Amino acid sequence: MQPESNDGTRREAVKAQTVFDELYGKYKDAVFSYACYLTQNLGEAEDLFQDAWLRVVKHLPEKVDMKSIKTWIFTIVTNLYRDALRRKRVRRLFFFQKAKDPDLEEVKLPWFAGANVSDPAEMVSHAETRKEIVQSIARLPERQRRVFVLKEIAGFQQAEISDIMKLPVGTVKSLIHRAVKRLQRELSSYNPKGERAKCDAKILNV
Amino acid sequence: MRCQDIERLIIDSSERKLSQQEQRTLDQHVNQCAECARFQDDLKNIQVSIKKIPALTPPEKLERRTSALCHAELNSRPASEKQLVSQTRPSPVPWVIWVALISLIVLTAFLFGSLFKDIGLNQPLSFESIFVLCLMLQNAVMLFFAPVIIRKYRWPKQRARLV
Repeated sequence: MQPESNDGTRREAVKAQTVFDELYGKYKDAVFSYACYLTQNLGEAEDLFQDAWLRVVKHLPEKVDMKSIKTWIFTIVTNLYRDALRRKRVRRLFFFQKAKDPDLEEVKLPWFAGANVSDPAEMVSHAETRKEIVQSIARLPERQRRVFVLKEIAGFQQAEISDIMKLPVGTVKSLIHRAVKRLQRELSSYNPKGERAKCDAKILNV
Repeated sequence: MRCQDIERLIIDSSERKLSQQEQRTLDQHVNQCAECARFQDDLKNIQVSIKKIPALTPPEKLERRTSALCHAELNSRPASEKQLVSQTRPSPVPWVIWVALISLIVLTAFLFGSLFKDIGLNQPLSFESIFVLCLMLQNAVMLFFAPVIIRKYRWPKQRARLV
């Protein structure tokens, strides 16, 4: 009886490892990107990434439904981030620290490292655009940022985001709308095309 | 339809195919309203720009370390569901702790009587009363930290931080 159960356990372990390898290979980049956008800090993103995968492994279901597994993994990341944020707030309260102002804070992440562009001038402009967009996303309020990143970067549908964030779909829609409006406002001040469009709109209104 | 509804429809259109009527309403409105047309253009521009941002990959060291930790976790998984339950369930509070807590409560209540008698008779506090006050202070401190101590005892250290 004992060797049989041992065999069964070993088989289960091998199966779980295969499933994990598949999931890890498929979603590690997406999870890391999401963690970076959430934390805006490489060290914290690395911690979140590692903790999230350990949590995934700990609760890896017996029967993995590949359709909803991505939502499940991102729910874990979101919940862990929320916990970390709560701990940070308590720590700030205890040590009378002030929250960092996202408007003054510069995002230090490897997005700005360099793109696959041959022309140096083009590379600089690419890096600038990227920087502006990433900074604008970083300045979004917490919930708007999470929803926006899940939609535009992780590629989730609004219904899936509502599952991940445990929010009604209507609230998700409203948060995305507000996030896009805010980004539009922020980016139009950088983007000459945006400025022109704004002027056009004014002229048309007159 | 209000501009806000149209803007939400524009956001929806990037995720699902709009119905013919929705599409018609959207097109008509966008043709007339410069603000909504700008919103549509800007959203498209933002989406295109975001797509151009290269996907971030975890540093190789982190990737390898996380993978190794996860494999170790999978290998140390309990053999059966029963084992898992016994591992996650807290161990019972030992009877010694119960006895100590009950005797502390009884002793405090007993000594409380003499303290109240002293205060009621407006007498200077006797040695016993001062002792009771000290005991109460000690109990208060102990009850404050008891949950932490009990939790630490009942939930053995899960896992050292894996770095």
